[in-house]
Amino acid sequence: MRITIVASLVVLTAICLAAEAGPVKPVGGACRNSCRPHEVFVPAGVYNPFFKTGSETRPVTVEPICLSASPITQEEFLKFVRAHPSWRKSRIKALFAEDSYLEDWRDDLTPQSDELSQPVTFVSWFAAGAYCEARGGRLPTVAEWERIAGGGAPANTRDASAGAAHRGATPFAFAMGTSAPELASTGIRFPGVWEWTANFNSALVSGRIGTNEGADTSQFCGDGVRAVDPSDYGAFLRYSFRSSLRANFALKNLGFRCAREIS
Amino acid sequence: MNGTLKGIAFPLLAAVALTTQVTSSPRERSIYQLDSSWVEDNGHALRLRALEGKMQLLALIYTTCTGSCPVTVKAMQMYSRTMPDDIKGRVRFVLVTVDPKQDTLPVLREYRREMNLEKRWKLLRGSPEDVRELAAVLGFNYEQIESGQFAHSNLVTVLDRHGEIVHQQKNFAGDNTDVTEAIRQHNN
Repeated sequence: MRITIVASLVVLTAICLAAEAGPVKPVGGACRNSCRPHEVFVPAGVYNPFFKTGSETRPVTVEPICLSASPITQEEFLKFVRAHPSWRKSRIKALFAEDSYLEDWRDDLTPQSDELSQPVTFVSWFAAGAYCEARGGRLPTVAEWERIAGGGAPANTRDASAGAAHRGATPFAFAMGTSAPELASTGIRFPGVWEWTANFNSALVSGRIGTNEGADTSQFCGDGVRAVDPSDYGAFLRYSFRSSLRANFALKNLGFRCAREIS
Repeated sequence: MNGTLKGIAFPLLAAVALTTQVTSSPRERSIYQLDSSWVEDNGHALRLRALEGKMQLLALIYTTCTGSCPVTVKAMQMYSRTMPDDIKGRVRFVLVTVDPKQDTLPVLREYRREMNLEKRWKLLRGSPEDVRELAAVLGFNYEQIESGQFAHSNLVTVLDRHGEIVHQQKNFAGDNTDVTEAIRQHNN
């Protein structure tokens, strides 16, 4: 059985590679084609974690996925809660979302009418995961998300942040995702919300990053974690933010997008 | 000050608040609402809801952990030993492995023997997704850091008989006062 699966994977990978390299357009290949209209195809790749443990970094290989091109919108989420009443704000259980769940919606089925195409926020990790599952997917992992969106912090983040605030744009937008160069032409968008990840609760960040002292030794087991590149302010913000979340939090600036594994 | 910054500060505060005490209407916050399925080290299938009716001391561990997990389990054993008789029979001890790949049922059975865990201890194994979900609910963070080892929170959670979190112990240096007090308060 296992051999069959492995063999299939090898064949699939071969097809993908052949398709990627192939001259035939606009077909783009079997793998790319398996993504839906609002998704982008993300080829396999390697993610270099923000943290190192001990003395070395451990690159993580990520498999190809189809990823929502933009965070899930209010309108898309509305369709979901229509079809799945247990996720409406009047019915949601406290375990799965805190009181602020869909706080900006007037009632169960009424988002702000002028924001239908905006990312849905005030959604918990559970609600985000349930949405993706209903669409045949899941939340992207930290490695998948960071590998796609984690690059591109401006050289001088302080100026960038101040500039954004001045112009009325979302402060820290630079930390909320910047397309990897290889995906820049795919139409993938990061409109300035934080995003849930499947394993948001993996980072052990408390206090400062950059030294071993950051890890609270009374609460955490394992070698202290240190940033590979302490000057990566965007990554610092994201990892701090994620580690401060609980699964039932529903926050104003926190949305999500979905990943689908390519079968 | 802006919304984003508040977005960071608020959950930090809320997380601190959550660790001390959770008050709410019953069952709304019960972790037994999770639909995950587990297997005990003896091979029996288990839904979390089956734990209802007793209080639980629950911890996430993995058996090859050389750091703090043995300390966590020893602390739980100490709580077990020193628990007043009037509440002893109403509490169950549950260990859930975060490393289902390595911690197969035979490995868990061996761990039970090695650590001398009595019958009222349950050792559970589930899918990586279900472990991740349970951990998320408990506020337990973990990540595989190198072959076989994990970086993880140290946490013992006290659940009331409905499955709601009533206390979380993060520091095992002291005696059993906090845990016993939490059990006594919510044992009804």
